[in-house]
Amino acid sequence: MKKIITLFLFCIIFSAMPALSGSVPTIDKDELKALLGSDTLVLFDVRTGRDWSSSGEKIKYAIRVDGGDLSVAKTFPKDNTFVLYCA
Amino acid sequence: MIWSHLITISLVFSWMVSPDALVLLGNNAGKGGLPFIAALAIGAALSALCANLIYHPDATGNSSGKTAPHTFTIGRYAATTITVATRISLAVLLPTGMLVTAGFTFNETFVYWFPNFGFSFILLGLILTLHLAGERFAEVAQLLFTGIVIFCLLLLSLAGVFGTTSEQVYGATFHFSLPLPLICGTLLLFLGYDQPSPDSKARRYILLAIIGGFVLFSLWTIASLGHVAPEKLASSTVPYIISAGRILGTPGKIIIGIAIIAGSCSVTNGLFILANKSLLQQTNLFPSFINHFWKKRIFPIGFSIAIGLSMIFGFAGDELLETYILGALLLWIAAMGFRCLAATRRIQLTQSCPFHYGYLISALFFLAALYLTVTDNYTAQLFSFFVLTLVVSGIVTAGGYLFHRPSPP
Repeated sequence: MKKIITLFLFCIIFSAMPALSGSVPTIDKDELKALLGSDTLVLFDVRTGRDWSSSGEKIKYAIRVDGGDLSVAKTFPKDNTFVLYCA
Repeated sequence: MIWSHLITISLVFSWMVSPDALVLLGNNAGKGGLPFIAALAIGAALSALCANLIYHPDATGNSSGKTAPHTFTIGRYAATTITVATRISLAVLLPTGMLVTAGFTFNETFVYWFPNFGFSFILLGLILTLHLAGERFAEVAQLLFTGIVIFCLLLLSLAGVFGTTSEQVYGATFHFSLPLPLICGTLLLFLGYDQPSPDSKARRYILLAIIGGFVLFSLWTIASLGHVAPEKLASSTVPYIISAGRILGTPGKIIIGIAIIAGSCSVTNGLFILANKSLLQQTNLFPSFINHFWKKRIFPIGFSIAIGLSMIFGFAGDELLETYILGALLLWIAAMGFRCLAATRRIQLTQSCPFHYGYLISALFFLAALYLTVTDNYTAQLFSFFVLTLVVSGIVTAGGYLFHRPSPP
């Protein structure tokens, strides 16, 4: 019984991790569409491997970030709007 | 009889009509331009010569059907190890990548709200169900999957060739050349003609499939280059979508979407069938308590679990998968070299010619595999993959031999 409860608690905590990871603001596709063309928008395509290569939907001018290395973001002014998309 | 030959042809096409083969074709067509068709002809001719040797009556006559076809050259243990390594790596790695591609295609072309991985798992479940139902179901489905892709590609190609071309006709401003990697790469496109038990009666149908593949690839190359700038084809990760979209607009994208999904099913189902048949011949690999019913189904179940776990744990999103897929394909080319060599040595037992062209063909296959390995950006990873795959397969084979001592050949 102890094992079942432990496993249950582990599952609860594991599934709640995204919520506990802090508040990262998200935007929907209409909000992004409105931002496209703006000088302050910096768009990162963070899809990796086949997630990226199989997709026929790639936003023009998005910067592809492979392997999770976002160091390229440091080259842009901090007051820009940074958007990461993964799907 | 005709039915069984049609199934053989559809199995030869299983990789040829896959999404990854179409990417390779599109990229190379962009790099080479129209002269790439000459490279395709060289690749098709070499593959046809290799198949002609493997299915030669003098090469297949003494085959017991229970030993790996290249046993004659390198011995039973090494031959079985190569068969296990090649078939398993192909049956697990290629479907992992291409089912994911099918998922994305379905999501982006047909039903936007449907999860792409959900669709990949549905296809995997469908193919596993076919194999659990029985070999006959899987073979008939293979005919259907391959037929759909060939029909869709022919439709788009003919529309592209005979329809109006857009502004970038054959990319007149792009520099064309036929470098060695391009010619070696065409050998990858025609793989699939090595059936587990080569039968000389199937020879003409195998050759027909290779010629058919060449015609289909050439038509698609002409159609693509007539509508898309070569540099765009060369650099795109989905050149088939761009070509289809330019040829027929939205209906073209729908047709290629159907072809990509059917092609993913074709490569998964086809490689499952080929691997299952090849591995079933290695009777030493099975513990004695497994009965005949489960023997025929244990490998598709194992492959499906491996593919499912790879997708769940995000291996499809890893660049390493692409390197391993290339590694599996290069192992396949090398295995063709071994089979060609074995066939040549068998033929020489009945023909007393001092030199046979088969030695040259097999050497070209080995050299092509080696060249593509050393010129790749991930040479070290490819060599690691070869060593790891062969060592694991060697251990599995040796384990089987420990429990089932093989009878003398």
